Amino acid sequence: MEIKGHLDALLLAVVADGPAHGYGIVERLRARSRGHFDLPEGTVYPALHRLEADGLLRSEWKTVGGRRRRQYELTRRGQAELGTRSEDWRRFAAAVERVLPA
Amino acid sequence: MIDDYLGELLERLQLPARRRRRILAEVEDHLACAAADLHAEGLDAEQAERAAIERFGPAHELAQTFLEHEAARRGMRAAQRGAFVVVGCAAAGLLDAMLRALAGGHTWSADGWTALGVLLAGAAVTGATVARAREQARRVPPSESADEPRDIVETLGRYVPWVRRHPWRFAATIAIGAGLALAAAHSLSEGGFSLHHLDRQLQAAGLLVSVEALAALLGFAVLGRYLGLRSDTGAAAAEP
Repeated sequence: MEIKGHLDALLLAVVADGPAHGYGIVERLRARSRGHFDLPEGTVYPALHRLEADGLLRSEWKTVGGRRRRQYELTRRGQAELGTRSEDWRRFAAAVERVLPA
Repeated sequence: MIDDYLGELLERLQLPARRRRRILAEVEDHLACAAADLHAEGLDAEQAERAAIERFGPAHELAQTFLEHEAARRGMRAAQRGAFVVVGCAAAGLLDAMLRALAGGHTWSADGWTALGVLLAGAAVTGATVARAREQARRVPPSESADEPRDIVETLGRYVPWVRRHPWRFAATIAIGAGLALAAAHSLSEGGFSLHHLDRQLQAAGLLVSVEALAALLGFAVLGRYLGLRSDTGAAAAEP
């Protein structure tokens, strides 16, 4: 899967928009990428848990309409990390752009 | 069908109960939402469940990913704790030697030098281990999750609520116990007790126990955070 290496950054970017639970995050990712990133939905969960373990996300149980769901939001460290990764990606993409034929 | 999926996931997730419960709850919520949306889009209930599971991905693959992450985390935690134990023992020994030298008017003994040497070596090992673990974390980031207890006090507190409510009393108890144990070991190594001059021996023993207990308690207070014995929040704030 092409996006595997960048999944973390994409998830951070999506959660930066506002707190969301796993299903919501997958939907947002699909919508914002206009269907291009359509990964097996389950794969977000190990990634989300890992991002939380690293202090980039925090989560808590919320009851919504009688359902109990785990909501994720960005921490300050997560915000900073997102900034760094965005910057890295832009530099990388610009470099590739310069090397490839027009 | 979703139940079957969850059942398979439950079987394959060889993880601590709390983590397993959380993962299953999140997956169940996700599949339920997905099936509901698909049903609203026109699929019948059974088709919706099947499609939701299809889009979610195979249970065995998901379980595998979780297990791989857990293995990486365990590895790093074990390495860190091993290093911390070395530093902890050396630090305790050093503190002990210092306090005994002060209390008994003894000169700095060979014990002290040994403890200092072990402490420095232990600190070097710890530093190297933590640095290496951090580097590995960039690839497969394992570390303490919000779910996992942050220190020994929290871990024990799960099983013995008294420890969680009164971490400092727990520390004091352990310190006195350690003091008694160390004093007993010390007096045994010096030939043990005899019935002669029992009162003087008891006095000396009492002083020794106090000093050793103080050393253990100070060690916990000063170094506890760095040794993973206690964390900043929670435990320290719990007691008035």
